Amino acid sequence: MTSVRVESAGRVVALASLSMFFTACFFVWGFVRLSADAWPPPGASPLPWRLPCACLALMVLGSLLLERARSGWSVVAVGCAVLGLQGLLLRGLVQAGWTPGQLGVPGAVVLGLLGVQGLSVLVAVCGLASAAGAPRRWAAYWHLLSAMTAVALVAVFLT
Amino acid sequence: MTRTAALAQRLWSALRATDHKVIAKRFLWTGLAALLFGGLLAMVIRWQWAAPGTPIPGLGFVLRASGGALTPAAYTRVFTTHGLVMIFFAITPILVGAFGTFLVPLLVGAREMAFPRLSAASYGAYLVSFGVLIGSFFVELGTASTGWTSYPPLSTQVGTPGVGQTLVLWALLLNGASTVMGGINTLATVLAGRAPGMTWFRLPLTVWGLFLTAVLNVLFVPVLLVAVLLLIFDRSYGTQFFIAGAAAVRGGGDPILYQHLFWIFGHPEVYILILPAWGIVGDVLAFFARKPHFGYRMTALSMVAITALSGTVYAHHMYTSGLSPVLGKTFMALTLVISLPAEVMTLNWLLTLWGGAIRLTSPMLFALGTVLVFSFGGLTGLYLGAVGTDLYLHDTLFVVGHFHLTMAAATFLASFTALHFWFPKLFGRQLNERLAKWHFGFTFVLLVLVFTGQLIAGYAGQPRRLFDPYQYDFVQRLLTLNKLTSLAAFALLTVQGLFVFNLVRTLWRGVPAAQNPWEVGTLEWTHCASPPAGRNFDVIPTVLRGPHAFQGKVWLGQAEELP
Repeated sequence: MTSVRVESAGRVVALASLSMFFTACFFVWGFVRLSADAWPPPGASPLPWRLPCACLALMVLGSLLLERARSGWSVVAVGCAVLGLQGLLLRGLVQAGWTPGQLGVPGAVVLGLLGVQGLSVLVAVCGLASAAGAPRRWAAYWHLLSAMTAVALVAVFLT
Repeated sequence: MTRTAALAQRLWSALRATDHKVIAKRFLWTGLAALLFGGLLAMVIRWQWAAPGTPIPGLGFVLRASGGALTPAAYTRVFTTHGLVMIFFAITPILVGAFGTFLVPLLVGAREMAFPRLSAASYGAYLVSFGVLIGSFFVELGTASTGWTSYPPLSTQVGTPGVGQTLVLWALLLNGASTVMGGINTLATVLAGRAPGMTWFRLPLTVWGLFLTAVLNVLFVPVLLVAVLLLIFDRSYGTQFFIAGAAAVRGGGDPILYQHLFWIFGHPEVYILILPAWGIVGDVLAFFARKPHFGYRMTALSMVAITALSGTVYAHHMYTSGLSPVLGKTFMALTLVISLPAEVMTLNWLLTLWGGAIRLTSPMLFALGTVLVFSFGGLTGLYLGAVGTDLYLHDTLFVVGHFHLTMAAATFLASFTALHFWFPKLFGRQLNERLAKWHFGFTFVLLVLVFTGQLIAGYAGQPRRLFDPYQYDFVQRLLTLNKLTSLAAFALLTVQGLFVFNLVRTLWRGVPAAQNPWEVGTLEWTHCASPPAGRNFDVIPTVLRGPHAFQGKVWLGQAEELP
């Protein structure tokens, strides 16, 4: 068994599993969104779209860099920027009342999705920082996160 | 070095072991212990249905307040834990954890699992999760009592206060993580670790079964993890994803969402349990009919088709949840479609037997038993897949009888098929055939009696999960039937003593096994000692043919060169 083949097979399978985790999260979002009588929920302002767009742009930039860069540090920087933007987004959402305390389930789902995305990016940043000499190892994972960010933008923030 | 230090060193090296054969045996022993625990809980349930409210012999020290009789609260805890233990801590670890970890490298011609440390981590997470589940019995208000499905709102703090239910959810999370780790490992091993020449259609059917199970585990267990995580948030952090009605504030959520998530996982889980069994049975029938598996490719492709369809039929568990009739009909059609590849597979098993030089060894008997109980259970599933009949039978003992025949009896017999067949490879000794055949005979007859009794009681309308079903007049006439079924269940547990005796005696002073006692051609028998040495193969073999090839009546090794 060659280690490269095994590693890449394991990576693909693990990412498929992670994709299903994300899919289940979006299923929850879809269920909540479709069962809502009105959207945005009464008392809530519309969800912002500029910051999520900026996040997606940075994630795509990270994907492109990972395909070309020899070192992972540039992508680590991009990842940190994404985390910063998500922090801003989180603060904005909380200030606008998108919290479980004020909106109930819709608030919990939005913050939950943001939390899952933030944690996933944090894992990528830590992974890239610890294996900066071999950034390609994290490329597939990062691409998956970019795709997830795109789905989140369309399904959650623009719909 | 002191004795304590030496012991500590031995313990440390045992904990660090990553050899797939060692990990597999750990899964096996822990799984068998869980099977015994779950089986004892089943006996408690059967006692309650045969003699409700009377003291259970030997349980006076546990149920002191009631003098050894089950209380409603204790009863709900017992059937909840029975289901959870059997599904997540017994059957899956034995078939997937033990046999999957042991067999996959040997059958595909690899020296190890793809990620040996992941195997060890998978077992570690499973063991800890089992410990957490057991620990939940000892907290205030006791363990979970909401059925193995943990449906909200019953399973939220509103319905089940206390730490026990939360601990059980954490146990499920850990167990799920263990399952996903095992799945990733199995898939990577089959995808990237096969010996030269081991093409997809040269894989033993056992590997197909374990591979497809791993696919389902990797894809659908994460959905369960999301459901469980949200439920933990509801219980511990004040969210209300699954709380509705008077208990909800700010609109609340919807318990039906949990049902969707649970059954998106839950129906594939049925196939997670049965696919390894199908693979094992497919191989063993061919080996002991002394002829190639009839329609090998069709059987493998049928298993693939069932795997693919298994994710599309989940809502047949929700016909009575207020599901739209259009959706109900759609899921009914899909459910009935999935029976087609299952039929192809079953017919192929029968045609494999047709004209064969059948050897009724103990593994063969267990395999034949698996085919019979699975076919019987599968046929009863058609009634539950169709909306019209399901509305009548839903939540009755008929459902319990059906899923016990397919998920319990079939997987139980398949586990014994595997254990008897690969025992020489696992332990280097041969189980006593005569004892094994007696064990099979009693077990098979009693399993059928127990679960047929449930089917009949359910068809007559007995609801499942009730502490005292005889509070309803129309169920009172089923008391005799339930008593007889319970007697069969107690006998079933008792005859397992034959297996335990056989196991202990064989491990203690059993006959050493030859390298290939069953005279079959797969790699573990032709190229590995019994038990296999450290790295499995001296030289990685080059595979030349499928697993069931033969010349005359003599089986050909998969890597055997002909003159």
